[in-house]
Amino acid sequence: MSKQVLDASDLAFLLENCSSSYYYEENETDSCCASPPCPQDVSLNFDRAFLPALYGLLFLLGLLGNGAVATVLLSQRAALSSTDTFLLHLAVADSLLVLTLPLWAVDAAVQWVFGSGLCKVAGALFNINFYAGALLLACISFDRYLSIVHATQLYRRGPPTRVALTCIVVWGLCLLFALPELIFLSAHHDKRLNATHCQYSFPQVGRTALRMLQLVAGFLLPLLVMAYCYARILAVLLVSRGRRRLRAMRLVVVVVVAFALCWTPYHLVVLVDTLMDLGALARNCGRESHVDVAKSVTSGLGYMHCCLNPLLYAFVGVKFRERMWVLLMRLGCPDHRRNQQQPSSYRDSSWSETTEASYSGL
Amino acid sequence: MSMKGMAIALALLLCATILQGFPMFKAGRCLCIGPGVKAVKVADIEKASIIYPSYNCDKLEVIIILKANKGQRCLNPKSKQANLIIKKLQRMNF
Repeated sequence: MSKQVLDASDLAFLLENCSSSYYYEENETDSCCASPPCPQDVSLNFDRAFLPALYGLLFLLGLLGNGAVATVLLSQRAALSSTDTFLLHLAVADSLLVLTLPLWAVDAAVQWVFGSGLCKVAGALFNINFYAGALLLACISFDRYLSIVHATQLYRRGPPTRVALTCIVVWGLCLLFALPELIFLSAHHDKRLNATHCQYSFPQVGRTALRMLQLVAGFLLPLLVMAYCYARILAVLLVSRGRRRLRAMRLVVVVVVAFALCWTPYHLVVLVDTLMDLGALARNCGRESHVDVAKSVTSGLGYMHCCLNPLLYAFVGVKFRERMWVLLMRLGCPDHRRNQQQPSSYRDSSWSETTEASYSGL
Repeated sequence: MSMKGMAIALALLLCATILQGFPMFKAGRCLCIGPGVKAVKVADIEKASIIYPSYNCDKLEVIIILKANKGQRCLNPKSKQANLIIKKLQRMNF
C-alpha cells in the first residue's frame, strides 16, 4: 500500500517553497474560516452499539421463524402445492440472508476482519437472497392472481416440474444479479472511517449502469408484478360477496402494507441523502451524522421484513398453525400419543377464521 | 396529488435507494465540506494526509492535523500548498 501521510519531519520542503505572497494567503485563511473535517464518531459509535444488537435479534427471529416454516412445510406428507413450494424457497432465501447477519454485526462493532474472500461470499449471499425474496414474492402473487382472477391453476394442473423450473430460473437470475458483488466487493481499508470494511471497488463508469440493471430486473419488476397481481385480486374480491371475501382482502392488504411499512422509512432517508449529494440540501456535519444514524435504524426495519415473511405468509393460515402445534407437541412429549389428537379439537375455535382464506391460496 | 405523480415519486425514491446500495457495504462519506482552506501555517502542521476518492466520495481530500491539539483542517486540494504535498507524496512512493 502506498504511503498517504506526511509527518512534520517530511514537511521541511514546504518552507523552502514558500514565497512571501504565499505567507500572506496563509495568514488570511487561518484567521478567517477554519474548515475542520466532519467528525465521524457520532454515527460510528451509534452503529457500534445499535447494529450488532439489532442484527443479533434479527438473526434469532429470522432463523426461528423461517426454520419453523421450512420444518412445517417439509413435514407434510402430501406433495407441496405451488404456493407452498415458493414459501419454502422464500424461507430458505430469508434464512440464508439472516445467516450472514452475524458477520455484519462484527463488521459494525469492530471492522471487517474476515478477509476479501468471505466479503465477496457474504456480500453475494446477501444480495442473492434479497433479490430471491423479491422475485419469490412476485411468484406467489402471480400464482394467487392466476387462481383467483382467472380461476386457472397453471402450476397445480401442470407437471410439478413447472414449479421447480420457475424456482431454478429465480435462483439463476439472482446469481446473475449478484455477480457484480462477487467481482467488485473486497475488504478495503477506508481512510475516512479509519477501519477496514467490506466495500465496493467499482470503476466509476460502469457503476450507474450496473445498478440500474439490478434495480429494474431485481426490484422494480417484481414490485410491478406484485402491484398488478394484488390490484387485480382486490378488484375481484371487491365485487364478490360473502365473509370469505373480507378475510382474504385483509390478508392482501396486510401483505402490501407490511412491505411498504418496512421499506418506506429507509427509502425516505436515502432520498434525503441523495438530495444532499445533489446539492439540493446543504451539507453539514450534523445533518450528515443524523442521516447516517437514521439510515442504520431504518435499514434495520427493512431487514426485519425477512422475519415478517413467515408470519405473514404462513402463520396466518390455520392449516399451517395446526401442523405447527402437532410438531411442537411431538417435540415436547414424544411418548404421549394422545396429545397429537388435541389440535384437531381446536378446529372450531377462532383459528378457523382464516381457513377459507388460506385454502383459497391467500 | 394525483396517483400518477405519486407513482413517479415512489419509483424515483426506489431508484435512489438501489443506486445507493445496501448500508452493509458502508464506505466513508467525504470528510470535508466546502472547498477547504487555501493554506495552513507550515510551523503548525503535525501531519498531512491525502485521501483518495473511494466508492462513497469521489473527491481527493487533503487533511492537515495541526500541532498542539489545534484540531484538523481541510486543505483545498487545488491549492498550491496541497499540490506540493501531493507531489511530495507521489515522489516518495515511486
